Amino acid sequence: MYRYVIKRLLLIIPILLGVILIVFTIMNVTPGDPGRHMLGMSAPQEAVDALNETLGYNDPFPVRLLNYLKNMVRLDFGNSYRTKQPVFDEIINRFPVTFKLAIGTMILTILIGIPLGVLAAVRQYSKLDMITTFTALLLAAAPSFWLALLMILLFSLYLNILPPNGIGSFSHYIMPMLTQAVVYAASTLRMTRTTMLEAIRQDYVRTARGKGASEARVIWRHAIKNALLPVITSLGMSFGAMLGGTIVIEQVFSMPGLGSLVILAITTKDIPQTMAVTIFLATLFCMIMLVVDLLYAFIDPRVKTRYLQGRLAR
Amino acid sequence: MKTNQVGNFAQDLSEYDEQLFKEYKKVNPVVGVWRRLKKSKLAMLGLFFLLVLAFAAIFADFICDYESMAIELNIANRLQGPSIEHWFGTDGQGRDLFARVIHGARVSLGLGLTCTALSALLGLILGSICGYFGGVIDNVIMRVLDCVMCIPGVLMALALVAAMGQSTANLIIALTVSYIPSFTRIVRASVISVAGNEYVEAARASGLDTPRIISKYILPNAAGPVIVEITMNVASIIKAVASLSFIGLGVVPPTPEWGVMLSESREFMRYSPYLVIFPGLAIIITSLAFNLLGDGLRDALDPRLKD
Repeated sequence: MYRYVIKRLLLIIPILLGVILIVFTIMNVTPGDPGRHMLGMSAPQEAVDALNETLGYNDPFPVRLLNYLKNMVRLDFGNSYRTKQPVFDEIINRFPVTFKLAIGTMILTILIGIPLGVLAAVRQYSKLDMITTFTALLLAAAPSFWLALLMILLFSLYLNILPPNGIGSFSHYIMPMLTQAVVYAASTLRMTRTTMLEAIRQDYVRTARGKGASEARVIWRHAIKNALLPVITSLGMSFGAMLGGTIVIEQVFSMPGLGSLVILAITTKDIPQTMAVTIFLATLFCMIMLVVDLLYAFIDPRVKTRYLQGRLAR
Repeated sequence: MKTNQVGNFAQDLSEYDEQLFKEYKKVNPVVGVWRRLKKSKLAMLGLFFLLVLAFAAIFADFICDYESMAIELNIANRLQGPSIEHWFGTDGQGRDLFARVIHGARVSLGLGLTCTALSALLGLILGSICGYFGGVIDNVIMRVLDCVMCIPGVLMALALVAAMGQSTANLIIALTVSYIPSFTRIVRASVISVAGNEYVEAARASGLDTPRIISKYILPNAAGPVIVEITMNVASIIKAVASLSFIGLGVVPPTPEWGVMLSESREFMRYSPYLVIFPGLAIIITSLAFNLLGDGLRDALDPRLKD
């Protein structure tokens, strides 16, 4: 088990190197230079050139890449071109916003999506099933930023009970969490329903019933354990995506999280900042996927035995 | 006498062949899938929506003139609510919202289908190479795609668009690149599951060259999950285009794209909520249609459910 975890942690390194290479290349070989962005369109060319020179942007691309990697190994990710502060200052400042948003969304998604999905499967073709499945279909098709606009319209402009933007208090988080959760819950519900429908037709569920276990126990203890495996993977991936993919939602609600930092950094050609955010998010994503895989072991004893025997096929 | 018998026998045989051929035609996979698909009401609803959208997209110019109704500013006419003259009302610049939504279908469907086709094609090539050959090539390609997948959400598309400049061509490249990994994974998985079959072995033994084995024997049998993924991805790409345009990094105004229209509607939404509602409904209906069709296709293509 520990060997597996260590192996997976080591595997993150080449993936991160790849991510760094891809994003660094995109940011560096495409047109536009940071000097021009920092000084504005009206600045004289000499000043722009001088600034690019001090930033090291005039070196050939391989040299720039090597320098970046060299500094990175010393944990020096450089200063943001925009704020002139170390890049991780800004990330650490903004991460709590995104993290709170993602955690809240996740909790809501699980609370709404899984129970409703299970119920819909258990009472297949009932009214409850029809209504929830259809609503989920509609909501899964809706773009989250549009739901956000509708919520702002209803709760902020008409009813005036929730603030439309900012991060001052908990009430600022309600709408962003809800909009995202609704979309993710819709797909979670559909997935839970499908896997649950498969699970309740399995032999061991019949066995459990035959033993005389109560219906609730059969569903919530026996069937659900197997039904949840694929759901957990998809929730894990959604959580990873939420940490970096709240870009649009953060934009709609003007929340200063990582998503808006990504846009800011990319559009101002702030290379060190973009690189740092990407590395940060990619690492988080890999870690979350590792946690998801480990969660499997807790839920599915078959997986656990495989870990313990150390014969995990990769 | 003898020759006659042989002749009869030959005739019997050819009749039998013909019958077999008819049998074979009867279970032509496309027909079978269509027959099963027809049974799903939701899938048919999706198909109906798609036909309406396709009609709107193709004949947009005949329904409403592009220049005079969807592009030209008409400030005197701005922010009028829905009426007989302007079905969906007019926007902040006095343009007819119905005309813009209709022409938006052309932009969104066009972009969605182009990006899907490109990423599906590249995913198909990469995925079949990975799945068929395995080994080092497989490892190299998959690890590179792992990296692309770890770059979160639309960040990749954002970075590409922001770096290369905002244009429709760059938007297509950016979205295509970010959707290649998921296609490759699916194609690879289905190719692996098919490539071990005896008929593939037989084809190889009879000396067919690899591209032909892949295209004639493997891909048709691995097509099910890929077709479903393609259908679902159009919806997802259309939403991604709208999102990128909404935050100002996708399609450039004044092009009537649904995300652009939603973004422009924000300042007027308090007193003109219809500006938010109609383009949003257009996005929902489009992506719902593709999702419904995808769901139906998944069931129709599932061999376990064959009649």
